[in-house]
Amino acid sequence: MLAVEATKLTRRFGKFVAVNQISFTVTAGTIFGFLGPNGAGKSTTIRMLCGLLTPSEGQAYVAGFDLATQAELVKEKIGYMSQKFSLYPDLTVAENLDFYAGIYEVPKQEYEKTKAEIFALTGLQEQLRQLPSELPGGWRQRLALACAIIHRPPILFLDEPTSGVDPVSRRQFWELIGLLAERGTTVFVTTHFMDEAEHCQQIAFINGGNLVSLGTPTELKQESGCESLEEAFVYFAKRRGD
Amino acid sequence: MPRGGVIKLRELWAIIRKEFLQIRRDPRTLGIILFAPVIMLVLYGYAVDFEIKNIAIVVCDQDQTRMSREFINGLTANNYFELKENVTDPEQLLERLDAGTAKAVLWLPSGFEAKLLAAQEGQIFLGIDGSDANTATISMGYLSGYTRIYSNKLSLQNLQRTGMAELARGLIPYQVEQRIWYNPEMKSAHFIIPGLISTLLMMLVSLLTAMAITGEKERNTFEQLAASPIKAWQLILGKLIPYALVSFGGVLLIIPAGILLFQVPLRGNLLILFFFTMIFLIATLGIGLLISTIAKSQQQAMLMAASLTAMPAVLLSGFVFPIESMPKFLQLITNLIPAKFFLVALRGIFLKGIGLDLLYQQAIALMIFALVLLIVASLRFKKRLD
Repeated sequence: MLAVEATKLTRRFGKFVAVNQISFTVTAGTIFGFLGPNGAGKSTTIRMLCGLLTPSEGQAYVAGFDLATQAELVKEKIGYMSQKFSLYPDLTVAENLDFYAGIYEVPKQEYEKTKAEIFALTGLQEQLRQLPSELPGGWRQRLALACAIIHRPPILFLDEPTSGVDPVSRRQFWELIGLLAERGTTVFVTTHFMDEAEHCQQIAFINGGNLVSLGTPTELKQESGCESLEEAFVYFAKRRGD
Repeated sequence: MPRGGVIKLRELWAIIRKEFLQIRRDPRTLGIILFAPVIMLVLYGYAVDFEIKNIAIVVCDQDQTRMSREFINGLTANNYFELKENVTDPEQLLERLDAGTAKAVLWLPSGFEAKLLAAQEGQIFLGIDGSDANTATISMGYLSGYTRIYSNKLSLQNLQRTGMAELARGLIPYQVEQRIWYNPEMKSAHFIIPGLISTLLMMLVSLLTAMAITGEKERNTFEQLAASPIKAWQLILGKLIPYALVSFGGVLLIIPAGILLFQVPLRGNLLILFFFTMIFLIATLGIGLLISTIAKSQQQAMLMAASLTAMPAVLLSGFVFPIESMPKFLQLITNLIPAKFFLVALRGIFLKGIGLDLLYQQAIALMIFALVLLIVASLRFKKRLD
């Protein structure tokens, strides 16, 4: 089953082509890594898939719904954590969680259950009364994730979730992502850290708005004859340019 | 999951609750909404005074007769003018105007009394400092009125003395018994306070609403909301309801402040006043919402709110300048200012004690504003980033 199916997805801003005719599919229940340097078009793609930006051309189906006509239905099926994880700085941890549960109309009993699970995963129950600004970066990022999964979305979009977070927190965060995937959540994650890509089942390399390669980490390394994903990415980016 | 009407309200409630929490966490905003109107009311209420009294006048009386002195004394008798100086040379009069020691100067050339007694046409000269147009108009009015009354009185005396009272019949002016309704003492405060209430509300409410929404854009939380299934109308209502209620709280403070501090009478019905306030608030919230769909940052929102609401509310609502004396095209433009209609209603309710039977046009106009602004703003309000 496909969680995301994008066909020739394109987004232009004026004359600038941010995303150029990219096509890919994401199998449900997998971790899909969307890799590329800053400005490659990662955030633009993720925003289109979340129904925040209208594609200039091409189609995409998310959770079986057509983005062009059913964007609001898509929004019920997804969780989204934007690049600068946007929490309300003047609301406490508990109030941020309550708010997102409210706007996703999570029924009360379900909310209590989900909350208990999220606390078990993240350990946030110790910080409930604190404001996000009082939390270390790693905890803020966990809170943002908690807010994004409070309604148990089948598909989770994470835009550069580990930027600006220390290495230990980054590793813990990827463990969380792994747990969510084990439970059947599809995770679509963008990053510019190549080492994180090893955690993904599928990887798409994007550069300058173009999709330069697509495959499992092993496939990509074999195809390029490189030892690491970092080298593989350089190889594919060059090959495309030739 | 079935989506019933009750569940829809939960999303709305989530937004409302969040806004109230944020307002409570931010005492500055709450303070601004609740107390800034009262503070500004006090400041403006005492500072803005349209009554003009004690206009400094310098006189050059070259006639130096009983009648010329009588004329000058009469002029300063009622406190409208304050005699600053008597000069001997008419040249000095202009110097006084230049120096600003006189706002008005009066020159009675010699022969004033003689011409009056001989029933010849005479001239007196009045100079007015026109750099303050408001004072100039008023002093001109006082002086010409006074001169007319004085010469009429004189003619009448003359005719009676010479036994030709018959002829005077047509000349006798009607005794005009003046009675000023609604604000008999012509107190500026009574006139200004309703204007201040509407101006302050229009500025503050639209500003705060616009800031509340652009704030979400600035902090990126808007992106998070836009990615959620919440409906645009829930988001809009959820934002507007808390601000409408808090602003209404501000009105509940500003009205007694006007009554207690400035003795503005409240002759009309309080409920009708609240009714008008509520529709006016909805219209101004609509303006704020509209601004937030255009402005990208709180700073932009602030500038737009200032130019779109503050200036028109002061200049074009009839608060300071009477709409009747504006050029025709400006008069048409004033119909686009909700504060104009609210102001008529406020003055009517406060000072005249009139009700909906006479104010229904204003009520309809404000309802149209509220409806159109909310609809246009909601249509423009997109749960998208492009």
